[in-house]
Amino acid sequence: MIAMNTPLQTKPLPASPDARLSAADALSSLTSTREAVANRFTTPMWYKVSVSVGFAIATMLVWALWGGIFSSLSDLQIILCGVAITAVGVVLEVVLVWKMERRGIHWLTMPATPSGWLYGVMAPFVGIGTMTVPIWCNGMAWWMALIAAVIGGVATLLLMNMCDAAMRDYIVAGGSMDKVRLDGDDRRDDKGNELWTRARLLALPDEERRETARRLTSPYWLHTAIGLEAMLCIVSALEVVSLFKIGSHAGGFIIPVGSFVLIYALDTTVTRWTRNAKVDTRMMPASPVSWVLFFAMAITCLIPVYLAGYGFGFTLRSGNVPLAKLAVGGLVFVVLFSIFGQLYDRRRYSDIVKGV
Amino acid sequence: MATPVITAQFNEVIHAPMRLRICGLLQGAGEVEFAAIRDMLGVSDAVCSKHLKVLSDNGYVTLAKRPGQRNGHDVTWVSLTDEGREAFESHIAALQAIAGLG
Repeated sequence: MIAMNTPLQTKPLPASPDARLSAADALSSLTSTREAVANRFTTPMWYKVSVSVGFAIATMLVWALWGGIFSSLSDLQIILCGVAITAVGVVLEVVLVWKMERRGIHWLTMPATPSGWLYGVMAPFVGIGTMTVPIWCNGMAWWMALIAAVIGGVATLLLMNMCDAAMRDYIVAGGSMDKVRLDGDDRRDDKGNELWTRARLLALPDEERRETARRLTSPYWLHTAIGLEAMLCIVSALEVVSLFKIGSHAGGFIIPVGSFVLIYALDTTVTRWTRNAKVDTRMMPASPVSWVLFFAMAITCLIPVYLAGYGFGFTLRSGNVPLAKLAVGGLVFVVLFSIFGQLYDRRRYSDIVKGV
Repeated sequence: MATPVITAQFNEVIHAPMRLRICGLLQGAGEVEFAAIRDMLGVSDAVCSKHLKVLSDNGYVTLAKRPGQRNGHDVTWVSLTDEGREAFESHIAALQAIAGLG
């Protein structure tokens, strides 16, 4: 059960019955240790159940919107419904990240095996696919929609569990999760101690610290690029929803495809700068003013959450993406996020220069 | 790509039960926080520290301190070195050979 696919050359070793027992015990203790490791990487059950139930509820909502049950609701109510669903989804993800960050491992990984990939990709595919059933089978009875929602939810839960089980088998068999880490922070391996952490900056002489902090301060375009990327993600997702709602139309695929290309380009640029600068992306604020700016930036992020929910509700209702409103809201978000982001970044490094 | 060949080699340093488990969990999880190792092994800080020091002194693990997210204090992250990974895999191969599993 050593590293997989590794040829083994053994030397003749003395093996008395006692030694055999002792070696078997040692290997057995390793299995329990690896199970403990697997438990750390497993997604919590409450999360998997919440996601599955969420998909089931969303399926019923789509049926209600499509079947005319909610036809008496105003646009505002539908839009508020979209905002609420988006907010619940965001909160769920934030709680998951918060919980996983406390497990003391680099938990953000890709599936470790082909079967893990299969189950991991199929889970959201089945969940989202079930949501479209009431659209394809227009006018289906409520109980049929309910059965579809329950089956979709249970299937999603099972697939997520199977994905975790595949990862567990891989770890217990002696596989290493280090090979499939997704946070991409190989710089954190500290080879040559290259990552610019606060502790490392504070250890520098004053003059050198000032110069390094100046070099690490993000360029003006960085936060703008991040803001634009978030808005493009929302617009492209809504365009896909619109395609489902009203079917393909002239130029229907141009906006999502164009957006995905732009998102890729922006993401690559932002990631390249962060990697080249070797900045510790988990550095926290050091002074009260930094904290205020940090929270201002965080509160600004509620704008795209609202816009996503608003757009989702509006698009489900009318079939059209509210591009004008998204453009205005997006502009406000990008401007505010860029300003607060720049102020925060500069303040953070000015704190470091002062030795806070 | 050629896969590395592992020679079975019994290792006295790694064979101590606690150190064997530490190496096992580091090999599986990659880099792990000190507190997580302590919790997974169910031992005290002192015991965990003692065994990590032995492994570190032999060049099998690296200890890196980084600012923690919870309270700003430095957190120790532990990972196997290349030498440690090789020694651990050789030791496991030796154990499997002794146990008649190799």
